[in-house]
Amino acid sequence: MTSKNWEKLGKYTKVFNRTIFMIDSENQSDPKKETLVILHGYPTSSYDYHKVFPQLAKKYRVILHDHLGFGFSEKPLDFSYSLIEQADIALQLWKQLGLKKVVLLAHDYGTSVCTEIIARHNKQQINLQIDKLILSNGSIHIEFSKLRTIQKLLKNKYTGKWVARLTNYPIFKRNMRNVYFDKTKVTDEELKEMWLQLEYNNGRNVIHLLTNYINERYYFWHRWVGAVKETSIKTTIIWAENDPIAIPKIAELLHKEISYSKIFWMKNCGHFLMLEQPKEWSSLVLKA
Amino acid sequence: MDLTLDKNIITAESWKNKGIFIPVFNKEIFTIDVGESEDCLVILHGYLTSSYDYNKVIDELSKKYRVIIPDLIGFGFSDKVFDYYFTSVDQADYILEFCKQLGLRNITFLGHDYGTAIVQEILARKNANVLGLQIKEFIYCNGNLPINHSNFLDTQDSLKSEVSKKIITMLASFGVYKKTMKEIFFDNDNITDEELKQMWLQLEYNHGRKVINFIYNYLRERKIFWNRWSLAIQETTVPIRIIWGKKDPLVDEIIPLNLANKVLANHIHWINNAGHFPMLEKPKEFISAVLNG
Repeated sequence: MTSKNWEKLGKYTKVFNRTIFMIDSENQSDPKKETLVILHGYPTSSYDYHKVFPQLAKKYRVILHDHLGFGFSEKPLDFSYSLIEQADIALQLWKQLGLKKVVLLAHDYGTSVCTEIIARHNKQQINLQIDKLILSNGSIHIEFSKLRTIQKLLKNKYTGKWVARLTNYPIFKRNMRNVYFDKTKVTDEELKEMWLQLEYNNGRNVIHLLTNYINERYYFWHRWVGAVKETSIKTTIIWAENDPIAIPKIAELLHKEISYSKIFWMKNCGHFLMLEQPKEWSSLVLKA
Repeated sequence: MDLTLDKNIITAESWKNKGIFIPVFNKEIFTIDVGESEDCLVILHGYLTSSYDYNKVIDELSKKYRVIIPDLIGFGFSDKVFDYYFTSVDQADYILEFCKQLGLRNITFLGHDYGTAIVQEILARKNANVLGLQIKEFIYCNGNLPINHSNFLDTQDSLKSEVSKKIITMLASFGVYKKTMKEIFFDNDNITDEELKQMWLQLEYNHGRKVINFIYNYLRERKIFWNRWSLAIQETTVPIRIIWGKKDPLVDEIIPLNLANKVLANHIHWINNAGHFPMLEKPKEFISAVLNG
């Protein structure tokens, strides 16, 4: 599927006066189906889910959106892109859609937006019932994360802006391929589609701002790891064993820390599980 | 030394007896709660100090307001947190839950120094409609504004380490603390050694000195949230009043001017001949500014 076709599946909506791209698998809410809301990773978009979307939509009303600064959403320059703000936007979007009860799925960058939401859920600050939590490869325990050189350069306040400007499609392609276990599982065409979304709306101008989330993971470590330890939401961890960034140790720790959690491992799979092994991943999600 | 004045000093111990402890999310929050009015004035105190900053103004303020002053987590007589990075976002969570538990309505929030950061976070949530709280007004007193990260260069990084260094040194002993605190008063005769001693005792309470520097990340937060907090101020529909000790060596005079521009509050209530702590240095002027704003 091209990114253009993906865009056609969705629509644009205003959240706090910013344009957010979103996809809703149902035209209207189907009372028989539970709602699955998805928080995507960095530096990609909701497009990560294009292979699993039909499968997930059989069981769930699936709602995806591109975080502000990503994919087809607006990419303002005058924005601080804090994960706290991404959580505000997600919650407001879901509120606008009238969601009261959801299953929450998060991957990579999305897991940090998710832990902020859990922190608020634990403190009963939000009017949203989260029935289940599904977490895939994300460095919530940033202390064990193996950052790529490109991530380190982008998050650095001196080099970030310049590295972002110099980053081009070949660099992006190489970095993305490196986090796959089986490099043949992703085609140049797919990567090109992802790159187009990153470039969309001058996205390269904000990428170094987005990368600041890594610093926030340190800064809010107690808040977010604390939220995970405190939560009583039933959690399923679906983790790729061969992710060079969010290593298996992080999943093991989360499994230990979250009171009601089970864990599924995916063998021979890298960071983007839903792209590398879509069938296996979605069947685990449906089992969760 | 004027002995008659000494008798008027409220000790930390007697201040503690004036308050109660309120449990919020498993932490004990020391709270002063006086006055019968329907209108609540919730005061968020500054960095390093405590509700005790308001000991000279509370009686007068409570004639018009029900005055509620919690010691922020990590400060004064409230629980101090060890091995935990307590951010303004966390502080705001506790304060909001605290207001909810007490069932407060018609709230005027007064933020001073560090307290203004928490006020900004509360404003941001109010604008995002995630608050079920009725807020009437904000009073902004001698505190900083968010830092635009495109302007946040190495100069501010060194400022950050300098501030941290200053704070570490300041906490070394009462002698250094006293000297540093006096420097941020316009006239250091306006604060006595005894008062500073009482403040020091609260700082030391429950090993507070050990955690203080750990909490001092608020410069970094002003950067992370520059946009969130500047927008919060710009977009809010809650009226903001500015009360400012004019001779503050810590916060530049440009800050209240910028703020006044942003919120179209063209009136700044200046308190002349007062430094960073107008409520301690010029209590009468501070009271009339709050009551007659």
